[in-house]
Formats: sequence, C-alpha cells, structure tokens
Amino acid sequence: MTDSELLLAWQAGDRQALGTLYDRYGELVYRLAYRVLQSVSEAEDLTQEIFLSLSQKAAYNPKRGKMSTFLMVLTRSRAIDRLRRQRTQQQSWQKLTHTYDVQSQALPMEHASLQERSHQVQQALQQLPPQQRQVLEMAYFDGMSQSEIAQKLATPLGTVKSWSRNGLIQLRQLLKDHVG
Amino acid sequence: MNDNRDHLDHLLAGYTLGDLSSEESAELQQLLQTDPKLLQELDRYQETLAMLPLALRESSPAANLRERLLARGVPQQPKGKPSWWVILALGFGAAIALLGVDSILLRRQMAETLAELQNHRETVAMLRQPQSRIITLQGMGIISTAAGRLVVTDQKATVVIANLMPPPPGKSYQLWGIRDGKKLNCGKLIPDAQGTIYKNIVTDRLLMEATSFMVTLEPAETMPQPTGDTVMMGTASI
Repeated sequence: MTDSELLLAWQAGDRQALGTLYDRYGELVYRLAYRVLQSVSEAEDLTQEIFLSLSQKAAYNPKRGKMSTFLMVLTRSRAIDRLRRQRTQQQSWQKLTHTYDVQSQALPMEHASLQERSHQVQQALQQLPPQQRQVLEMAYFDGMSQSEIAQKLATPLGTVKSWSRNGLIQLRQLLKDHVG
Repeated sequence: MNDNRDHLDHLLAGYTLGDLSSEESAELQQLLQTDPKLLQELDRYQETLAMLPLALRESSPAANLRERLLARGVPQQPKGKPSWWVILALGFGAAIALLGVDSILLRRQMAETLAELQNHRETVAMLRQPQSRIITLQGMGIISTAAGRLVVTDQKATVVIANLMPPPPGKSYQLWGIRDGKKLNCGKLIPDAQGTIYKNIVTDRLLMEATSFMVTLEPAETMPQPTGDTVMMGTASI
C-alpha cells in the first residue's frame, strides 16, 4: 500500500494502517523529536502525537512531496514549539537517565532503507564546510534564528545567512538524486 | 545567466530557511508570480532540508512505543442509543443533573458554532463583493507548516491563519501589506492556543491596493516598519 492509501485507511479508523505508517516512519519521527527535545519521554509523547494527529488532518498532499518530508516538517515544527514553551516557562530539561530496550520494531527492509538513506545524508553533510554544517544544524535542530546564531558564534549576521544558504544550496546539489 | 541562477538559488534557500529580508521576499514573490514552476523548486529545497534528520545518530524508540500508540489509536465509535433498562437504572435526580450538565455543554457548543458561523457568513459576504481579492499566506523556515488566507475588500480585510506556533519569548508577529514597495502596518497577530488567527483589519485605499502581504517576526512592541525575518509571505491567488 502507498503512504496515501495507508493515511486514508488510518483516517477511516484502520489501526493496522497506523501500525504500518509507524513501521515506516516511527523511527525517523522519534529520532528528530529526540534530537530537538533531548528527552526520551517528551520524544515518545511527541511521536505518538504526530501519528495520532494524522487521523484528524488531511494536511498531507502527495503532490507537494514525500510523506517523510511532510512528517519531518510537522515533527520539527511541533518539537520546536514545545522547546520554546519549555524555555518560556524556564523549565529545566530533565534528561531521563534510564535506558529502554532499544530493539527496533521496524521491519528489516524498512530499517535497511532508512540506514542507507541516513548514510547518504551523512556523507553529503560531511562534504559541507564545517561552518555551513554547524549553522544549518543550529537553525534546524535547535530552532535558533539567524540573529541568535550570529550572536552565539560572534559572527556577522550576513556571514551566517550566507553560510546557511550556501550550505543548503550545496546539500540540494549533493542530494539531488534523492529529492523530487 | 549563472549569476541569475545563483541569485535565484539564494532566494529559494533563504525562503526555505526563513531568513529573507523584506526586499528579498518581495523579489521572490514577483518571481513566483511570473514563473509558478519555481514552486516545485521550493518544494525540492524544503525536501532537502527535511532530510537533515536522516543524518542524526541512530536512536530507536522503545520497543513498546508501537504498542502504546496503537492502544491510544482507537477510532472513535459513534455513540449508540442507551437501552431502556439503562435509562430506568438512572435515578431521576441523576438524570436531571446529567441533563443540566449536558445542556450547559450544548449551549456552549451552540454559542461557539454560532460565532464560527457568523465568521463564515462574513467571509462569504466579503467573497461575494466583486472587488474582493484572496491572498494565500504560506509559512517559511521555522513556521513552514503555518498557512493562511487574506480576503481583502474596500472596507476590511480578514486574515485567517492555522498552525502558527507561538513567537519566541519577547517577540511577536506583525502583518504588513506591500504596495509599490511600501510596507503598510496591519497590526500584530497573536495566535490562540491552537495556533489559529482570525482577525479583521480596517482597510483604506492604500491597503486595498496592496499587491502582497507578509508576516515578520518583530519585537513585542508595534514597529512602524519591518525589522525582523519574514516568516510568512502572501501570493495573490485570485
């Protein structure tokens, strides 16, 4: 079944479809949620929220891109939203120290495909100059504005903008076979 | 030619990252209007950025997360009619109390629905006006999931936005109309708890003729001119 078919099935109440969507993208959603929120419980909670919210919204349009892109945009936006709320409330982040059984539930084929794509993106990122990579990661994962990054790195705003834009342009070139 | 392409790539990358200046936003807006195919290129940039999490260190969720998710993911069942003996089993007083609570909830829901209906009626009335225009607003960078519409008539403009996350501490969203390169202040936008905006703006002749709209991230106070990053941009769709 395609992602769109699974989504429709889940929106109609089919829990198996939800399970298959989770098998395909659960690990990726969790990985991003955990990177931004730095907490196992928060990341698990957000992962569940993302998949459950798919039943209510038909916001995904397959013509505009892949399901993974849609989920990453949604997860990042909600994760950074939570991060900001935490920062606003001056709450200290409590990193959970206990470890879970990390055996993956994903099917072997889907896991292999995820590993392969991860490897390609890691390779592409390593080809970027370190500053470009750093500012892209600060903006994307830490939700920092360009001005905040400029301040933190004690670098002019124009330079930060140019690093991040050039980094993204180069990444677009390096990953062109995997995008679109 | 190459310089043009480089410049265009910078605009597309800047849009995706949400760091375009207001001049650059207006320039990209113009380019998108003349060449709608550029929207596909924008999608490719969005897709590239969304691949970044793939490079993260492997961290798998707990094995039982799938199980917990499926347990929570029970589809809502339609409420069946209670059988006669259940109704009988309910004490008279309890039934009255339940009816009372029910009616309060019902009245509140009715009031909310009527208010929503009133908003829709006003919007439909605005759309019927021959001079009304619709502008599509799309989020960029950190708020790329935000989306909205502006309906502009000669008397007022109504802006509706969904998925707008709260601004960072000490910051606020401000809406601007752009006419002949001039930025016209349309006031602050304050999202509710659901990230929704529904706001009416009184229009004058200048604002009525605005060719595009944008939302910028500004300090808490109202600014006379935009100073911060553009986070949403408007494209005229009608």
